[in-house]
Amino acid sequence: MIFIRKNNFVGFLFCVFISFSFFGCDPEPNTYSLDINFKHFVDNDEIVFANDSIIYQNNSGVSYSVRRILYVLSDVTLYLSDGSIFPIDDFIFVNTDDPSTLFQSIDNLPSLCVGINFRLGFSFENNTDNNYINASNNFHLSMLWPNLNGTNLAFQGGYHYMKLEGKYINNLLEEAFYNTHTGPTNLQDFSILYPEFYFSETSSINITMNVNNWYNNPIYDLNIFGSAIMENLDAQNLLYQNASDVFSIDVN
Amino acid sequence: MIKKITYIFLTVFFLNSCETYEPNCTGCDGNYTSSPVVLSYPSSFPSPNLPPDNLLTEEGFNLGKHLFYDPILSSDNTVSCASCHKQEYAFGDNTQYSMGVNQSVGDRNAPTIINLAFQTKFDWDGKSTSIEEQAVRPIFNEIELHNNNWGEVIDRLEQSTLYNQLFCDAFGTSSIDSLHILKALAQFERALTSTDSKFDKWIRGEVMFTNEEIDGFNIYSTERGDCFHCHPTGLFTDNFFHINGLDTDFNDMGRYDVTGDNNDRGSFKSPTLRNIEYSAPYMHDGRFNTLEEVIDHYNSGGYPSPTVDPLMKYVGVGLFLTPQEKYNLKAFLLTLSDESFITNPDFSNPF
Repeated sequence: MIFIRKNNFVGFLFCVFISFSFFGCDPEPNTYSLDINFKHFVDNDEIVFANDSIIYQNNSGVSYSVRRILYVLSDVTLYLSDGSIFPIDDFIFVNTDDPSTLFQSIDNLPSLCVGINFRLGFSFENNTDNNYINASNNFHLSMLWPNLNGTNLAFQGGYHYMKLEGKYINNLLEEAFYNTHTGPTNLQDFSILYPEFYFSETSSINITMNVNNWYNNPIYDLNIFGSAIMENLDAQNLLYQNASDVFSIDVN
Repeated sequence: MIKKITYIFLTVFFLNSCETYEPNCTGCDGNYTSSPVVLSYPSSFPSPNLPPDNLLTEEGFNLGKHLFYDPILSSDNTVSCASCHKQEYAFGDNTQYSMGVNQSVGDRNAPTIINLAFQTKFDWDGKSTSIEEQAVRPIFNEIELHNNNWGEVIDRLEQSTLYNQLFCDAFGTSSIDSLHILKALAQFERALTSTDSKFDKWIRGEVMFTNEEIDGFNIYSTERGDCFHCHPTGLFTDNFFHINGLDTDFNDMGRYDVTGDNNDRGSFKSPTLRNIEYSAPYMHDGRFNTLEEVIDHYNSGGYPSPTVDPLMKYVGVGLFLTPQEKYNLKAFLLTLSDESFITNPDFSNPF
């Protein structure tokens, strides 16, 4: 049995209190976070990123592979369970060649998240030359859209919105490469501001891109637009029309 | 009471010990000062990567320059960094494969050293993620400077009458160690900036381009020639790795040997095209001797392989550039020459 004198007992309680302050259970969190995982599918199949994995097929009957996807989401806004709206200052850069970009965490939220919206690409006013020159993960050098100093209308600087690249089987049954690159061509803003996606309150979501939906409705035929489309307004318009159902969101 | 006094004394002691600087020089006069160097660069460059523990100073740069040019870093005092990275060739090598100690011959063309302060991956395969980390490799590579350990390198430097003072000036200590050797080399390499080509002057509005150069710039910066995806303007490298259709099979696996990713088989870092006029031969293995050969390679579309980059979208087909377009593209590439870089006496051999 341990005996403690009264004076020491007060000291003992004080020590216990201090100890719990340092080492005790975490207090109830008063901030929340949202983890976002970026996933990439062709319909029901998670993409195997490789040139020669020509195992996917779109509505025009073209077989293709996906080697890599790079894209930017800006104007990201979170909708929280307490009714507040939480705009995110930074844009999100996803690059399937860089696994560190396939997961993002947004911290210090006042309550759990119940909705999100974002823009694929940058708005015209935000898509200016060298605007994000020091952004992380090699963003600037990976996504730069050339500026030809006024000598070519299609190239007036800023950044690509998306670079989706791989192989396809062309009409001659030969393997060929496609570069589905979208961006601010010919002074037109093809960025896509999506409406809000809502879900049950959560701290973790998946944002999934279905690559086939870039090509299916209306039909975007890689035989017509396969290789070089940065100056092609018809191709950019078709992709813009296809964009509405490219992303889906589910709670993790 | 004694316990309290002891506690206060210890607290004050620790606080003071954190704030006190004690010169660590043997042979130095104890009044170590350094002169910071500020890099200037165009708005198309990202901010330089300057490690907080190795900020650029005149004294560090000067020590690094001596180490860079001095064969004392090689095991038999015959080869220096500058033997393979020659200023007149934009700090690259004009021979296909460089020669190290004992006439050993490498298997990759020595890359240029230009604007490294603004990049994050080094070596052809990106195995180094800092200049300090890169600087150590050739010192011990058996086909380069071929040392066995740091001890022998430091012994040679300590026996020199030159280096104690240079180390003292640079770092406030005449004690020579591996960390400071690498820091000094990195400072010198970090300061090798090239930003005064005709292209830079054109962007600044100081000169005009010829019609051929403008057309070449259009070919370069559109999908007509599609050079810009891997060599974006500014640094003229994307700091990334690509397979550019040189071969159908690979003897050198390049980036794959670093990552183990099958998609990286045969890929190499896009080199900067700044000063490309001076840095022949070209490609990681120096297989092309002229810019015409390089342009012809891309104009042909290159060779197919399982991992060739989709940006090489005309593999097996070709770009069908006309002779005039090829001439104009070369004319633009020549605007990236910065003569002041290859003749700058600040970057030259101090011996």
